[in-house]
Amino acid sequence: MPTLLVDSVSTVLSKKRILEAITFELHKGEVLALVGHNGAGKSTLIKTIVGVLNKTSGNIVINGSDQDDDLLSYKQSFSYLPEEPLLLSELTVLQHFQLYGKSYQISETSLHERIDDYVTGFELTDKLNEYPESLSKGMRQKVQTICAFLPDTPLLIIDEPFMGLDVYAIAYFEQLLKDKIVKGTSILITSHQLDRVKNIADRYVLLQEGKLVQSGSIDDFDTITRRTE
Amino acid sequence: MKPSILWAYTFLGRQRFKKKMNIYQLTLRTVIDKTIAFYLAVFFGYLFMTMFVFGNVLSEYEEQFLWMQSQGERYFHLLIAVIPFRYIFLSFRHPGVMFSSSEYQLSLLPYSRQHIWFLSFFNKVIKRLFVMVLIGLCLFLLTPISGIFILKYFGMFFLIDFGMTIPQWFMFQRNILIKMLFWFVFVTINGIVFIVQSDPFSVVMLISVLLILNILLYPRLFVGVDWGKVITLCDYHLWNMAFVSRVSQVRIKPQRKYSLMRKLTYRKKPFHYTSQSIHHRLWQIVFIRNIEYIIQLIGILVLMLAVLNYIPKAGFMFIGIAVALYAYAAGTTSFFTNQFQADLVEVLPWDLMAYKQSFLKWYIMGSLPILVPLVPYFILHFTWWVPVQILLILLTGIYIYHVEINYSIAVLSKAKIAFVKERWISFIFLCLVVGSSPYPIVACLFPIIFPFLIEQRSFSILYDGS
Repeated sequence: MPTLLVDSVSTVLSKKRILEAITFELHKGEVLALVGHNGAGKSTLIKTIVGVLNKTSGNIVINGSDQDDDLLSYKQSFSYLPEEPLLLSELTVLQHFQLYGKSYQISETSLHERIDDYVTGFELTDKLNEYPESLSKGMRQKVQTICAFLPDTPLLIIDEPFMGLDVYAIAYFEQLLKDKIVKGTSILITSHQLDRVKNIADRYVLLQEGKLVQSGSIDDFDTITRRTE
Repeated sequence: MKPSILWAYTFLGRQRFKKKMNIYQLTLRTVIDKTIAFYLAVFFGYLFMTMFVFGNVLSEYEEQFLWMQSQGERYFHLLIAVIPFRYIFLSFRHPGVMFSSSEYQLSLLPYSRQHIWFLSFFNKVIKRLFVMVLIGLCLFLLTPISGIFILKYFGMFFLIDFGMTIPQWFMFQRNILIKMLFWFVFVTINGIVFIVQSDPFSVVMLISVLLILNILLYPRLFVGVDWGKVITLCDYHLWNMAFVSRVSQVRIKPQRKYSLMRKLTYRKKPFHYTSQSIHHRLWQIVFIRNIEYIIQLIGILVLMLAVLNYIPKAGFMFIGIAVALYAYAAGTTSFFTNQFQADLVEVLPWDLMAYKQSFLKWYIMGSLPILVPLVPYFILHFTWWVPVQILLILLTGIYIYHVEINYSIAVLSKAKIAFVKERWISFIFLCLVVGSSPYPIVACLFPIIFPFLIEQRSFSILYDGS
């Protein structure tokens, strides 16, 4: 059973078809890179999988839970790191971690252990009681990254993870990602930094104008051509 | 050559207007094609001709208009004195002068931010003047209300709108204590106006106060301005087009509320690691973001029930209660759903039953003001049936709450449960409430609600979707 099954998924926004019959699978412990030009449909696909956008046809199944038939279990089966932090301006950094912990049913002891590790790694120990507005963009991205890494879900969905992170944070992020992979977490990742993605991913899926045009082993992936070519 | 700020500002305004018109046109085209547009034009043309040209409908309401005018003349001094409160309320969510991200971008070019602000201020004043003249003309031409009366009122509306713009801008930048200070000033003015009971005195006093406020606040106009907050809220007000959002089904995110609560230190403390503790904070966030709608919902229901107190026929009050029970449950349910359709919570897993449990406390708290107008009614119309009638009303209210929330939970979790039977039962219980007025013995049927209530209380959506 694949960790993620995307089967003939189409998405329409304002009567315009953004995604057309996308089909692919992602297996346990595997990293799949979603690549394509700006406007190819990567973020729309991610948002459709996450459930922020509604698909018009097809099926999405994570770890056996169907998005349409079993939404609550489906939502427990993945963790999402968005391109832009979705932090609430009314909650402090630590309160965000607690919200994630409770939502993913992490025990209090386990949550605090993980928070201690990640906060030290991302150098945020003195920011736990701050509101997001008082943090820099990079720090907010780090907070959102920690939130996404706290739960042990079968699938981790990551949209443009390197935006706003400094080199040390990127190195730590890659280390955490490797730890997750070793534990068997499957990862769906999208990024414009193709070199970095090539170091992490096992396979790739290339989107172009909302269609899946190519897929295969990341070793066979060369680069994306110019959009106008 | 020095660039013309007036040209740049009007260019910006023209482009913004064009863009908005384009969006409205595109939206209209998706809902109205040429055939429908033709029939609509014929329909409205017919309606206009029937009402105003042949039917002369407005002349039938001549007495009412004249009554309105006589009341308006009698209470002129009181009515104009309360208008400034509107601007105090508005200052919580609108700076009063449009300074969006486009104006901000313009200020990064070689144009002064202050000059742009003043252009925006005069733009607002001219628009308001135009709208008021238009409405005033329509009233003058279509109704029997006298021109002097219209001029007197609209003149004061305009003067107050003009005079309160700078105070509103100032209050928007400041905390609630400053707003309360303004509130106190205008409460005092209203008190004096009420005692003196003179139109000329009221006008002179109001204009003098507005003049003093503007003179005092003018030098502080650009001191301590939170431009980020101004821009965020102006962008929201500018582009949040309700019709477009509804048709395109693209949600405009509610503006971020910069509440005083964030400054309270205890709110920074970590949560007790329980769902209840975390959910209560999340509900507070939703309520603060939707405070205007909540006040509107509760306010309308309180007003309706308060007015019904003065209607001698008892049946109307019970119909009002039934309407209020349903409207309140349906309204609060939309806030419940709202929690899961925006921001961070949307992408998190949902323990919907825990959310429902934590929401009940807020549901009950919000219903308390609605119960207030019922107290004098039941005291004045007391019989030994009243306790049983109240029991029936409360149980019906709780039952409808469970049904509506459970229905929302089913929709959110995509569970295929229709809730047709439950909604019919809600309707029957509401009918019992209405029927308990002419036939109080009907209220004795309240125990039949219990088994249905227990069934709804124990409703649950499991993680396998069943």
